[in-house]
Amino acid sequence: MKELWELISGLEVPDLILCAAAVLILDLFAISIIFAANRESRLCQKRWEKVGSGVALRFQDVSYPLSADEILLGRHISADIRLADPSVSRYHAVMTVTGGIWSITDLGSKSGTFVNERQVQHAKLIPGDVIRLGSVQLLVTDHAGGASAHRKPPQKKSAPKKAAAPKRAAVRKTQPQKKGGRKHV
Amino acid sequence: MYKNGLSYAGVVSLLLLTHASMLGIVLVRGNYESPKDLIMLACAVLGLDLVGIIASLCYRQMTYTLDLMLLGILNMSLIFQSCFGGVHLSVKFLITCVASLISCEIGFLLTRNHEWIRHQKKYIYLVIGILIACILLFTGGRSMWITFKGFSIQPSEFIKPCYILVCAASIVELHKKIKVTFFYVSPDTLCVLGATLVIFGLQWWCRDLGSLPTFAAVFACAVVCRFCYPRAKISKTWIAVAAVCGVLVLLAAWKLAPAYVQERLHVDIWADQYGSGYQQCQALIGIARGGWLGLGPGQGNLHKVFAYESDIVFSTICEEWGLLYAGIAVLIVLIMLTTVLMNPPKSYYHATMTAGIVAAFVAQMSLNIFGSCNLIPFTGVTLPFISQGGSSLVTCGFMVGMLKAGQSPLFRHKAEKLREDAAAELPSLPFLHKKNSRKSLGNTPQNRRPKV
Repeated sequence: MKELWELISGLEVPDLILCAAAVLILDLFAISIIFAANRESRLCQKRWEKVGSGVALRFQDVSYPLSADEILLGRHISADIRLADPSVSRYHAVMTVTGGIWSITDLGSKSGTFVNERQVQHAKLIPGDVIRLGSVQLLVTDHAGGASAHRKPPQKKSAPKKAAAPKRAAVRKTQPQKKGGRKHV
Repeated sequence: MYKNGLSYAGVVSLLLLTHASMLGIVLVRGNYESPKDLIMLACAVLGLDLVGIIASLCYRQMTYTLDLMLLGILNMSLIFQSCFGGVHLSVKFLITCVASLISCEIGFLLTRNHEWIRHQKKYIYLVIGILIACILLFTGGRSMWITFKGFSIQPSEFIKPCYILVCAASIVELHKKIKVTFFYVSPDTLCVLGATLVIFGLQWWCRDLGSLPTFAAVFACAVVCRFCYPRAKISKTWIAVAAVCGVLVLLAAWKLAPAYVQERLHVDIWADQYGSGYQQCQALIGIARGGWLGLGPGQGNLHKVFAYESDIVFSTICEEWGLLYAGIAVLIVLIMLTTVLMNPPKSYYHATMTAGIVAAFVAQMSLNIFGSCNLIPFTGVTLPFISQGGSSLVTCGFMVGMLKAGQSPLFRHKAEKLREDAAAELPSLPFLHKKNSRKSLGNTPQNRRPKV
């Protein structure tokens, strides 16, 4: 045993090769971690869609997946779903999810928040509900546009100027998604 | 549970291989007296790896990369620390590593539910208050250390995660405002500002100015997250006022800094090699002596310099393991912090928490590494995960647990109860009653919703 140990410790492995091998393994570990983290992020996204019940908002054939637990609807530039219509308040309403159920809360807007033409301060939402903020109507759908199977898409009361692209915050990304585009799993 | 078991096995194999290769370097190039020391070190490192991996598989979570990276970094640090001045297993550091891993799991479990933590804010403030009281009562003068029978802890380290938590947990209450004289202010913001002033004042009074930039970085992140939070309705005027106040505070701190800090800001270390510039000179000489590949584990001389295992640990590693290996070890810590960007948090609470933790780690690492290299004034803060220090490592573990909570948050609390309530209220929900959805579709949506 002692002789074997002396043999091992007496081996002259060039330092460069030894260190290069160790550094290479460390690099491989780092790279594999990055790939694993990327895979996990997709897994977390799928889980989030389960948590959020895969609900989205549709406005003029553009679908906005609700990608965070709190979504601000309003005219302000910082809103997650920005509705550039004068009848919409800057901070009009906020949508939140708890236990897989989305709800909407009015933030003291001037023109009020209506769910299925009933004015509400706070209301739970399900796919197929129609939200009206001022003169802008939004349809609550699932990601696959499932609500259209239950109800017809709402007609706009008066066309707003333009639904601006949602804000890309550091926290969340509410990407608009064309109907019939790539489905979220 | 992680779905792709093969990939997970691959990462685990590389983790074990990484530590095995480090032990191989110690075997060939290390300075050890008997093989027993090396065998003990190998058993401790590989044993901790296996225990950590098995423990992390014991309960279900969405992310394992942070667990694996923490395990990897802690065991790398164990090897580094055990080799300074000759190879021997550092039992103290091993115990600290175990405490850090346990602390990570506690941090994860405590902070993953944003609704629950929001209701525990008063207890977090209470913990901060107790820690501050401990510092004032038991440290014995203007110090941050409590020493008891040869065992010392630094309570100010534990304030860091608590402070990050109050910054994060209070963000969702920003829209609740009360009128104070002429202004509408959020009570939670006032509480956070109060806590910030108390903590900063304590740091200033205890002359622990090295930790101030870390807290300042967390505070800055919390402020930026508040500006980004739409419901806060913070106007541009307030943002401008905050920016001006920040600049004024920085200028005042620069002018009012104590004499020894002013001296460190302008010291020429080479002109005062055996005085106030001694540590930095030795650290730089050590880095140069180590070169790219290092002198070999346990072959360096920096272990004779004060705080070689904490404040100038980067230089000690550079000397023994080489700049290449030390750089990659630091890179691993940075990769751990950047993996959280791949999966953006789903709530402002988790986002603020994640941003605060990343800012704290980056600030602390910058202070340590750049301070050792004489690029900025030497502050004497520890290098996260690598420096010796029980309080620091346990806090780092807890903060990694908080990062993990941001990656694997709990949103479905009491989900079943809520679903039942919703089902009672809205019997037609197709996604709640999949079996009965066809029946319910026919009547209730029309009953409930007017035509538009």
